[in-house]
Amino acid sequence: MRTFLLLLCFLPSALLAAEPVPLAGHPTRTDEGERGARQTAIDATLALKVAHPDQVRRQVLELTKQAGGYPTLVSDGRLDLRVPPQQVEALLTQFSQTGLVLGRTLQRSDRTEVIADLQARLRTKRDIFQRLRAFLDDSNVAATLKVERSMTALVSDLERLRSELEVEEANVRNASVRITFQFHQERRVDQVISPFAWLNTLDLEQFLGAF
Amino acid sequence: MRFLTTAAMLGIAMALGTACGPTYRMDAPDDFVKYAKDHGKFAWTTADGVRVKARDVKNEPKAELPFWTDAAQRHLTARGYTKKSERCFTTRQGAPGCTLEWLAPRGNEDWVFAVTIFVTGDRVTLVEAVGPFARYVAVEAKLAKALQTFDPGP
Repeated sequence: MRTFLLLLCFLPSALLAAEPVPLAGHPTRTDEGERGARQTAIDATLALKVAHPDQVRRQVLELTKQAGGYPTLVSDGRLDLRVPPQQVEALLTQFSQTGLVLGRTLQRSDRTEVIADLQARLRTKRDIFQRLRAFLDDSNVAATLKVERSMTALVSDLERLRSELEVEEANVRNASVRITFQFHQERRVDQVISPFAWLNTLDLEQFLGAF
Repeated sequence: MRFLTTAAMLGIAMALGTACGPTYRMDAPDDFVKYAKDHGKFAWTTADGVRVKARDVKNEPKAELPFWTDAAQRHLTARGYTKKSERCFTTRQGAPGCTLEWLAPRGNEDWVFAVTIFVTGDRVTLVEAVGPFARYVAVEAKLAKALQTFDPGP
């Protein structure tokens, strides 16, 4: 019990002390809040039809690295990237030049309110935690057990809120770009008939058959 | 009698000329050889199977090169081919032509299907080239150079 109480006393201190360290070149949340800047998360998708996915994948990863981004998923048909938001449009243009663009989307969502709400909830929970900790000093066993239960629940809430906030802040710090590659999957649509007769004779298989 | 013989010979010659079809000319592209199966037709191949062939179609309805280039592009896109490139040029003889290169899946490979279009009066001359992507790309520049010398004939 004593060990658990000690743990409860140290854990909140660690949680309270662990304020996120602002990255170099990125304004802190407080700074942004003071200036009234909006915190925007960017999600982009790009569907490319390419001849050589391996070659294009290497090229895209190199461009991402040069721009200060990094991959979060690399597979045969898909690349998930995190890139600095200010670079996202230039990168999408560069990526688009590596193949035939089948689809491109860019979505910006304002996360200011969500982040502010999470910060407020986190602050409130921390305040409650501090007040509960003060009760531990002069309470009897029964009260200690009650306080202990409340603090355990609060620690769990604090951890959850903190990780939600971290995810939101990471989404604002880095834009998410998902690239899907298509090559062999796309089937030809053979039923298309042109009103211009000779165009219907343009066909790879017909050519090989008649050669 | 001599007049009749001459006229008959001329007739036969004209008939043969028509039967043989247009006479295309082009400097031999490096790495290509004339395809031996039919010496009469304009067909070339590389050792690793990149093939080139020319043929005529009727310019019907009568239209110019930009029209047919656009129509071919739209048609092949609608059929699911992926456009690789488009290159318009003028041959050494002054004939304007456009090369459209397309990609299409064939088995487990991507193949290139390239068509170069020339429009001469009532004829549209097509020079088609086909090959697996890697092999086609290796001779692409040589073929483009040879196409600069292409003459669709009279």
